[in-house]
Amino acid sequence: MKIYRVKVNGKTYEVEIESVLETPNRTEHAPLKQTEQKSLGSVVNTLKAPMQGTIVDIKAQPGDAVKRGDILIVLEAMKLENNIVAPGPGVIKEVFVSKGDAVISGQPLLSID
Amino acid sequence: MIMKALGSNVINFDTLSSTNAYLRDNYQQFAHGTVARTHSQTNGKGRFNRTWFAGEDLLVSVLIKENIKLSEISRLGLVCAAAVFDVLKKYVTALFIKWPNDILVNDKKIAGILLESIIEENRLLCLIIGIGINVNTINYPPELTKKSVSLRLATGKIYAIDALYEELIEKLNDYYFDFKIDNNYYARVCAENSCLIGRDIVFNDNITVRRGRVIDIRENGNILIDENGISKEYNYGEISLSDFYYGKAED
Repeated sequence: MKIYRVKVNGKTYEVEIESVLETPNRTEHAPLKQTEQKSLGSVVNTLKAPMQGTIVDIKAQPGDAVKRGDILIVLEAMKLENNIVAPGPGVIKEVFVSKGDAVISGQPLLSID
Repeated sequence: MIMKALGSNVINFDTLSSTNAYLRDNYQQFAHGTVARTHSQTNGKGRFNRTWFAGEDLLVSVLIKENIKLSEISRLGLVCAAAVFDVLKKYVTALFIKWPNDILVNDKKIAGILLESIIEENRLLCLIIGIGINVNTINYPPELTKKSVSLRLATGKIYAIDALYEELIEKLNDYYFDFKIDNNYYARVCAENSCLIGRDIVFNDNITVRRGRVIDIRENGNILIDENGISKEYNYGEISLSDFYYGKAED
């Protein structure tokens, strides 16, 4: 697949041209991960740091009911502020980090029941 | 498949608490490439929620809703820094990029970039690129006068903010397109115009405060730092440069 830029009436558009001889399954957006399709239900789900950084805000506390998309933790890596959201509905079971903590990629942040 | 380029949908505000916050709170209803613009932010922010002072300036946020690996998103800060640098270089001299994404005139900041992501289980839902360029502001609060400069203060001229915006969007589209096809030209721009290469810095790797000399900005956008004769490469998220980072290189 190749990407070209075209201008139409002064506006810039990007056009992807995919050859039928290329791999047919490649799409712009990755397929949904298995974890997205699961329901949290009564399973305890541990959210982990997606990258190294510093915890700058914790927006949920144990016992809080959350819904999918709620921002739970804000993790800052130099001038990149990452809002970690709930992957589904649930109740916060435990928060493993505190504001100001430095965390490494993959470190557990909180658990949702 | 046709995708709208950055800036094909623009939402203008006379005043807004923060263009980044607006897109963050409403990202689900807007398409990739949507821009939020205002002339005055009441609660713009830089790192660690520091307030971004805004007067007669160019303040925009751009919504990215494409499939980008988490390991790649921090490079977009450098991509944007290169774009902003390209816009400003024809107006002002002594312009530098302070890795990863501040633009300086001499040692004063003229533009800053703040990226915000929304991540669900290691998947990027959206990325918001916030860019602030000091354009016509001439009065800064006392705490910023030694650190900040505007195009007007640097050149003595008044600038048309709308024209600058058009130039910025054009450059952002160019550099973002290059980024998507793995063209690392942006990193070369950041290296060739770095104010850090050859200078001694103080930095924090999230564990300890360290000192070293900047050797290079690599093709992948990482910074190469020499510590006591041992060179180590760090990416954008691994270290923070301290505010008191400056120290002239010992020649």
